[in-house]
Amino acid sequence: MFHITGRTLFTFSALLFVALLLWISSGYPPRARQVPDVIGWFTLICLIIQLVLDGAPQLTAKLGVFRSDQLYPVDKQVREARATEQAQGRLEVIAFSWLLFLLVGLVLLGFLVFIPIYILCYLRFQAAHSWLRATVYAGATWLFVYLLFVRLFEIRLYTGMILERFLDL
Amino acid sequence: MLDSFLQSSSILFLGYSTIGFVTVPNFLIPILGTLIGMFFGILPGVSGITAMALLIPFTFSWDLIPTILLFGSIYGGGTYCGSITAILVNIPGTAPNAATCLDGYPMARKGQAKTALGASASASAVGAAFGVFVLIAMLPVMRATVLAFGPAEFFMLAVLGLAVIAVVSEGNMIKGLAAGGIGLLLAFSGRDPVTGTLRFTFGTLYLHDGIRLIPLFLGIFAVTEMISLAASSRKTISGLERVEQLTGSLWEGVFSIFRHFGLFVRSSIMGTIIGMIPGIGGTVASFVAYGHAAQSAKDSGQFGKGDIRGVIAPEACNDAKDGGSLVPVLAFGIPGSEGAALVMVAMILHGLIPGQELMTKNLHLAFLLIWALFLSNQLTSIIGVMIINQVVRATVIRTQLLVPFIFVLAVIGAYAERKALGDVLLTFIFGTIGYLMKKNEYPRVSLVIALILGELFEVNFRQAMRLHEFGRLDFFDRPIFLALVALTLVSLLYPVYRAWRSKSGTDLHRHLAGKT
Repeated sequence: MFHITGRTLFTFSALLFVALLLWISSGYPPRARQVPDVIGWFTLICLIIQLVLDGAPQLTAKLGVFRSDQLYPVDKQVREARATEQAQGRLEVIAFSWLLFLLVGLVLLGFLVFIPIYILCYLRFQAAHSWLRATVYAGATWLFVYLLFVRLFEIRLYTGMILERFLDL
Repeated sequence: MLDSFLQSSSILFLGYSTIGFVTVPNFLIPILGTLIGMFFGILPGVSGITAMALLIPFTFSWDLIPTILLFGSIYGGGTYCGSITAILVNIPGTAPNAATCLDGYPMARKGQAKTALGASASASAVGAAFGVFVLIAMLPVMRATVLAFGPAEFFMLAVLGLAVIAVVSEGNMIKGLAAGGIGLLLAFSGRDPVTGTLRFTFGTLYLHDGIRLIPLFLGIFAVTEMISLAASSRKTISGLERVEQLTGSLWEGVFSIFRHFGLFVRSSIMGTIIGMIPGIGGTVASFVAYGHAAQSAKDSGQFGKGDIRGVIAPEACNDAKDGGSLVPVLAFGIPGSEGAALVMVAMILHGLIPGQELMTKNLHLAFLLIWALFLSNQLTSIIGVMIINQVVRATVIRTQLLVPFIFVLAVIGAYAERKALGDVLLTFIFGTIGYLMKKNEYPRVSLVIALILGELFEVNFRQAMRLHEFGRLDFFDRPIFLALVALTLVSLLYPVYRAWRSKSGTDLHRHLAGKT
């Protein structure tokens, strides 16, 4: 029986992506699509096999030949170490939410304005630091970014859509 | 060659570089790189690779020489420190330090933490020196070899590298090959180097130059690791709430490599050779050395329970491989690991192309990189031993304190190269993809190295085919090409053969299984 799990969904997504690339490359001149086609079809076959293996674990157990980690137990300790840090669904959602918050904030407010806000919010609401400590860290981060990147490396950081519109007005 | 060596030595010890508005003596840069590599190397889940990925965009304005010195020293600086958490808390700082956990942690639990750390430090330092000396000895051979390589050989070497990486990296071989294939397909985006056709741009101007490497590295290495940390339940990097007092004899550990000198030399040789093979990284090397130590010992009863030889062998091998791993990078431009890939990309972005050009016209720069690696490996052990108590405190840094700062550095780094918000978005996208790959055991290293090798792969393939079409190239008349084809087939088929022959796994596998 075929099991639909996170793993099969990920493999299926990769398969769709490669299939999309193959479909796109079919419109290219022959010389331009020669190598992508070869690699694409090879990858597609690998992903189909992997999808079957992911979705049918009883088959994986029988086809031990494909599990190189049984031959090279080099990842055993690493896997065990990682097992102790296994991500929980809720923590993942929170982590990605903070990442999205950072991206949106940077687009709207720019680096120099939003970075201290981000650090303050993260340390206060996620890391549960006190307001004072979070503010100090946020200020120190702003200073670090300004001195190192703006002054020393002379990088012009993005000022944000809102500030740019405000300056235009 | 002696001239190049002397030139590089003069540049390092007598030269100065301007960084921003500051002029620094060149010999200070490896010290800085070592400290950066040490700091990142000691944090489980965050390694020197993360540091290099973060620093690449900020070193665009630097000259080539300080860049080489910085990245070479970060590359070598993190290896020893990864063993500190492996010994103290059974969590390897980097994957290659995993084998050190097997005996290092039991030693710490027996009150011999300092002894284990001392043994790790000396094995790392002297093993690294061994690898570097072999690398220098190989340079004349590399120069002669690289000139014998043509398009067919370079293409096949890229295939071999990708095949080996796919086989030995985490997860199974199919996933490794699939990840490599996707990496190659991503590499083909942008303008076709031969026909000029725009490929896989999805109608956006942004992708006309292809997938940018900086956002890729930052996303796959820095952002992915921080998401993993943020999503973990560990309050501190190591999981420990506080640092306990270290016990044991540091100097007994340091001098232990001389008591087990034969094992140390054999492990170093193994590391150097394994490091030379593209794709086989430190993880494989360290476990191979550990397995050899356990199997060759007359009294192997203590292995897994705190035998110092179980620390010496993997650490010597792991550090010796650094020198060996530069052989394919310097000679052929084929990186064998993420770290080597980042060092190579840093050089390429500053206009230094590895391969024939480096080995013929710019050999002094190759020596400069070797110097940086050598110095950082020695410094990291010396500094690590001197300030071991302070270094250990880094393991209790709060996870939630580190994560937002690394995120901020990553986005600034992504933006800094081209001042394009699209690069920031791409960083996030690759960070997400990298996390999902990590969670589903698809090897990120296969994707990254395939993406780096993509152009080399395609350009050399098409050149070779054109030469063949014109009758200027007979594949069967090229012994190096045929040897590489054979090696590729062996590397792909050998695991299948071994699995078919051995149902219960290798002796080492049984040995390890019995220990846990």
